[in-house]
Amino acid sequence: MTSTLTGSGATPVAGPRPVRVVDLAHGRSGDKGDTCNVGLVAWTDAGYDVLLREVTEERVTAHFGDLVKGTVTRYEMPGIRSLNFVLTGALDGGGTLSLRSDHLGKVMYAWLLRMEIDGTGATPHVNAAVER
Amino acid sequence: MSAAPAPRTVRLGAGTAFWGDSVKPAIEMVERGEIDYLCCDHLAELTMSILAKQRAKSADRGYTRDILDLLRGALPTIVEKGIKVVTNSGGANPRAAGAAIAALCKELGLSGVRIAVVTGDDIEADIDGLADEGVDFSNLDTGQQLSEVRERLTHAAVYTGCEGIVEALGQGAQIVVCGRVTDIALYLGPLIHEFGWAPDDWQRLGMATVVAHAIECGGQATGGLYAGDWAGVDGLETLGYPIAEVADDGTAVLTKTPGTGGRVDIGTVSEQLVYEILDPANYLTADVTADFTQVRLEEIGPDRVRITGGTGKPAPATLKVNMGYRAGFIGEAQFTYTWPDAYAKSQRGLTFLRSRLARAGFEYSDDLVEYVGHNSMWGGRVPPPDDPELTEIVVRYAARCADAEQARKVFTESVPLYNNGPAGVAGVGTRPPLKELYAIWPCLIPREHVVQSVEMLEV
Repeated sequence: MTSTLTGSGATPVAGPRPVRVVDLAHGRSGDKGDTCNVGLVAWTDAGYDVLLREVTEERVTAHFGDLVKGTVTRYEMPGIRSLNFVLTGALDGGGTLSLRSDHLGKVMYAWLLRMEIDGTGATPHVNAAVER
Repeated sequence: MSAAPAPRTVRLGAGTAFWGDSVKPAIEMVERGEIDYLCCDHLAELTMSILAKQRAKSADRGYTRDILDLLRGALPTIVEKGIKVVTNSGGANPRAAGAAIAALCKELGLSGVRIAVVTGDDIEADIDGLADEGVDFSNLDTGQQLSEVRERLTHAAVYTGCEGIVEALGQGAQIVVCGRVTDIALYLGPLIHEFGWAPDDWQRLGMATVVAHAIECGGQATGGLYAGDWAGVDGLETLGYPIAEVADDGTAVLTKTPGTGGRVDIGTVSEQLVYEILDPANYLTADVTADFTQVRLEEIGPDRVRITGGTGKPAPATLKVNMGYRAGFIGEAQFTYTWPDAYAKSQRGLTFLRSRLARAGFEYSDDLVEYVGHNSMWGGRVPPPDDPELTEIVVRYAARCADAEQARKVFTESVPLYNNGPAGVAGVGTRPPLKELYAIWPCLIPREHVVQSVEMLEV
């Protein structure tokens, strides 16, 4: 979805600039019992500001839907441009009990990277080695 | 004005991150990493249940035997260079691990090696006495009483701190084998021993905890599992494991074994800093409550990142107890349907399986259907496939059952799909091993009830 987002040199217009979280951040996720944490690391300071504005507890709760039975809490780590989301009731009873293939929540971060947000204020990051 | 001497640092290497981790990076680190300490974590939440089961079968088992594979390759160099090893591979049986390491030293013709065994984490035999003394082992998450699972407990181990490690190093141990000490303690112990930090120096202990957290998962700090510029990381097959050059103020420069693959930069370290943490202002360990919120990273050279900004607060008054209990079995079956009508056929196949299970008197508490290659990671967030040209769909059915007999039925009743169900099916494999479930019972114990002790073996 990058080509339509990163623009074709058209005159900038006011209004939301749709991007995905993956365009501004990378991440990692893991487990503690039935709790999954998803960390996002912004590529730039401007990207971090957009994450702070857009990737709210409410939006993340809605984005994960029934994958998370409990609560979503957001924590900030500005020195490394990171947000940490703690999702409770997120692993079907926890890593040792879960029926899910991803019983340890290892790829929950990637679902958050797919979330669409308004990217106004930051330039999407492009990994040189990967064509998305 | 004369130049100040270079500040002293202690070099801690992360040797292993879990039971079954590759031992080659640790061996390379011993040979080329110029480390003072090799810190090896072997224990995940589930590991203690498995090790307790092994110990129940045989008194000389119950530790993670990968420590022997590691030491077989590394011990001669460790002894020659005077490197010290701190490990929680003792698991449910640290004395047996110590004895096995001593035997390995003899086998390798090494002498003068002091091996310390640190115990005190295992409270299984004392649970009832502790409860009588008023310790409340009710479940932290659910509030349930321990009596509900008491008969099914596999083990009870306290996440203990670094005081036993500090004592062992003070007694001249070269290898320190522990049970369920925290992974952080494996790093704090050497630093307290070397720098003489006070046990309530929360600032230094908090900063050093941030450093330890950054490297304790081994290759995950050096480019392994890197979600950022993943395709740009070279040498994943020969990944080097991380090394922290820690200064007396607890700050450090993070690097890795020279001449290895991977990368240490702000991206790789940041991802690891956010891995498996809850509230970053209150990262609870047995030794300190660390504060990660103001941590900063700076790239100061190739594969060299300075880490600063961590702080700490007093350690919690209670320690976390890791108890495990038997919680039934998972039965599983997997099969594949192909074009034409792949998805519709898979639905008929599932109806067939569930109907046969019902006729077989199947009892289960929960079940789950995943389509591998489509929604097995994000479940119901991914809509069902609607492409009529879909070439194939892999169905995975799994159910939690109270006993093995019920769980076995899942595969048994899936086999007739091969010749009684809809066409286009393949991949019903051989019977998979049943997965026995161990649940974690998280609870707390006031720290005054937990005392570590050190036993020294000399080869």
